[in-house]
Amino acid sequence: MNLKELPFSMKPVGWFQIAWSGEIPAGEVKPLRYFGEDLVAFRGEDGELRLMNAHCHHMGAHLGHGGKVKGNCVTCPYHGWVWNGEGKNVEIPYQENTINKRIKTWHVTEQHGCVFMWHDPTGSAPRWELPHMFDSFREFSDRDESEFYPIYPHGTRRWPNEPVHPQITFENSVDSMHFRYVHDSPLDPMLLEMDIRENDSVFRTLFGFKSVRTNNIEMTFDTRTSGVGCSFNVFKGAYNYRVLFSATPIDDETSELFNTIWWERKDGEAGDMPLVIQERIKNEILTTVDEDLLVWRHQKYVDRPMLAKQDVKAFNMLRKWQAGFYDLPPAEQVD
Amino acid sequence: MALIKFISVNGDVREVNADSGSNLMQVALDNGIDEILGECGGSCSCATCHCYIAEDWLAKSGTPDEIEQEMLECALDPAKNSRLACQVNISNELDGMVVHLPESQY
Repeated sequence: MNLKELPFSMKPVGWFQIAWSGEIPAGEVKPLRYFGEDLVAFRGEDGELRLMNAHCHHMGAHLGHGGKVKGNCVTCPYHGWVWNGEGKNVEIPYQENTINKRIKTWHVTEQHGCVFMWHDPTGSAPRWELPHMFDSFREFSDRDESEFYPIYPHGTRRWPNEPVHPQITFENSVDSMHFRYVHDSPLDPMLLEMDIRENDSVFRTLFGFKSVRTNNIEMTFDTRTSGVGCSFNVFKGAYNYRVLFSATPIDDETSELFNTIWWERKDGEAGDMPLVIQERIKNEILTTVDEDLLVWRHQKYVDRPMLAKQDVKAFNMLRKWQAGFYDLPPAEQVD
Repeated sequence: MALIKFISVNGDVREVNADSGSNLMQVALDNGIDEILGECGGSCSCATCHCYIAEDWLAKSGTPDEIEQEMLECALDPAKNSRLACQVNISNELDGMVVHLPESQY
């Protein structure tokens, strides 16, 4: 897909996944690049993750390549200048005074083993909260994180460099007929419910799969899409796994896609994911995005699609809602 | 059955018989009214069956729902009496209705 032809930019406002917590242990740094910015993430010895622009104000070295964590700060690999998590220069080893110019920092949040950054071109603080894979679904399926195998590393996969706009990927959340053709689904899921909630930050759908044998709905899945960045999917019934799918702009032409699977433990089992489940997730579950990408990579965006009758309401509602995540005025300061 | 009078921009009048239970887009396509394209086939998703209902027939032709209203905003030169023909159901009540056609759908 040629993203330059799209009527919306690669600078949407919202929460976007950038890593899994397990990738950045305490005392380590990781270079990142999203929204056209070189970034560095580092976890201090206090366990807290920090995210800021990557280049040292001194000579422009990249703090994520060779920088070292010192306490809760990061040290530049070039001349040892030390920067704290607020982007403040706290030490220049060979002179007494420090400089006042700050490095730009970004809001990050970590929940259920995933790392998300808040992106807002106006620099406003987070305007809404992200759904939570467990807390947000209590009414639908009250299972705790402890009832699932650890996600990292076996339940995770990333597609680091795709010519795909995040917004397109979330059209799946209202698209009942693509399952049959893209994913070889034996059944067509039925859209049972659809609403917009959490102060307009979440688009929620409930799909049901009917059994061919009994004609009853044997499995449902509840999807919460947060802005144009992440969708949280909880399956209930024959299978009870959970899926986080995220898409994050790298620059104006490419995105990184993330997939995370929470697979239900067998009763009373502890420890890491058994090998046989690892293989199954790798070969059967974490391949669905490959199937979608066959379409997304080569798709030409249709601004006014010729929709089938059953899709008109849902697609129009979704696209209208998605358009609200671009070019927002600065958030009003609450005094 | 209803007699529908289509009037082109240049003033040409074409009268056609329409079956009750059909919709105005289908009637136009069946009778070679080329100004109505109806590309999506009547799903209310393309706005290429845009037309103007004569004022005195507007009430009888029904009220656009929310989706149709949104689609009409994308039509070329929408007016107060704009409708998508695929959403106008034909009934005997519409016998004699006058429909003005747009110059273009794009």
